[in-house]
Amino acid sequence: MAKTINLEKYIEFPTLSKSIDTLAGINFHCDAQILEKIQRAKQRGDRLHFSKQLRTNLRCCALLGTSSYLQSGLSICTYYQQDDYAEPVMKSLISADGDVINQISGDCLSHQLRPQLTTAHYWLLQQITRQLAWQRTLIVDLLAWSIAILLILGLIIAYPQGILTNLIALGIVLIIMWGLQKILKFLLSFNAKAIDRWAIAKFLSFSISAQPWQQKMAKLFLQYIVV
Amino acid sequence: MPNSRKPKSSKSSKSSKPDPNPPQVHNFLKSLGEVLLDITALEVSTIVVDEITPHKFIPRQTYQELYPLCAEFLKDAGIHSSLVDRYLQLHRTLLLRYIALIAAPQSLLYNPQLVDAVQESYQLLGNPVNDAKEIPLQLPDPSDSREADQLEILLSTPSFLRCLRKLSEIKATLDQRNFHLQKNPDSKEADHLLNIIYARTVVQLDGDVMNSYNQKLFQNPQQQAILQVHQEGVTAAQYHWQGLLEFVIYLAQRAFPKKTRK
Repeated sequence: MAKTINLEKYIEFPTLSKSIDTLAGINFHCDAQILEKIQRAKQRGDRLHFSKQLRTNLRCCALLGTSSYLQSGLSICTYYQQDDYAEPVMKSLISADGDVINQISGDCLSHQLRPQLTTAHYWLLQQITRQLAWQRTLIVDLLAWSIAILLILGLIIAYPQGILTNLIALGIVLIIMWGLQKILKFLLSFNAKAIDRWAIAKFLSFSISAQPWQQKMAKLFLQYIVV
Repeated sequence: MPNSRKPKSSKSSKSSKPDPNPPQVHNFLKSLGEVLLDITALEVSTIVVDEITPHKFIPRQTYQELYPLCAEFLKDAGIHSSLVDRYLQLHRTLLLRYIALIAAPQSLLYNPQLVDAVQESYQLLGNPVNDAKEIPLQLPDPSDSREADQLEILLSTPSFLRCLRKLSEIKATLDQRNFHLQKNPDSKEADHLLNIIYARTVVQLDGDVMNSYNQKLFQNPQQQAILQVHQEGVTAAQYHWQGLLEFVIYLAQRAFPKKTRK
């Protein structure tokens, strides 16, 4: 199995401005040591390690544009750090319709590490692509748990003294809640596809909404509902 | 430079049942379909620049920068004469994209009453001698409140946004080139070897590959390095593009109701 290398602390997602929290693109900071690491990773066929946070940021960056606008492309910029100074050396803009604009600075072109820098930049580009799609949504699990918790809360409110003062009763109620969500999950799974579609459609409509709270919901969807 | 491909018309889905998705989502799904139809080729350009500009794409702001570009405006702004045509081309590309949306039946901006104006505009824009500001159809004026609705729709149209974003990158390199030429008025335009699109490769879906190179590449002492960077970029883009496509198809498959997918 291919190993992974963790470069998370060198990858940042700047926002468009202080007032607009839409992610503008991806900045990758590297120095001579990281360039060497990437060369080795590339030779061995190692992959970039993706934490949940990195994956979520990447998806937000690729999908969510400024409010009410769709994201029109993905922009990736590589910075080279030398003597406390980080200089942008390469930038790629990838548009969903298949146009790619690669920029390289004149300084980078004549830099002795130019081959390593371009390799690192393009390697990162290749690594992030396959992380966009998610395997499944957790919407059925979320619905089952929500309904089970609501029902049990109703029960507790109806008989507060009988349940809250008796540890055994409380334990039984919690077990019932767990069993209930299992049953609900089983029942909902017959309609899982339709529920999934509803959730993705909701996510899409939120992601192009002008309402800030709906934009937030779209982000939460990417953060918590997809795996 | 991004070409002004006309969006291809798609067959509208006919369903006897009402669409289960709210209109906003429907637009999104349409735009996903539009992305898929727009993908006819992968086009990779390599530009050598003085300085890499940070990511900053705010659609309305970029539109406001590109909207006023005309001969008079560029003269007043003191743009170097060798670059005027290239700046005008940016405005022209944007205008062509807008006209294509007016003429496309599936677009929200479709206006069948303007068929004649569309025809005439296409003809006039076909000749680079004609001033883009003189043709019958014009981009919505961002300072005119009567055109605000039209502009709002335009700025939420994905194909237009993609075009706008690419043009903003090209404009940034032209601005740098202009800055350099203004700073060194004695230097010849031809001697300045930065801020140029040196190479472009188009990979068609059927596998055909077309390469084009700027003639300045052959004057550049670093032509081998540029060609290598470009070639690596093409390989990476092919890989990346495939992944992006898979993702768009993945989303479309999960979000489209089966009836409209047929």
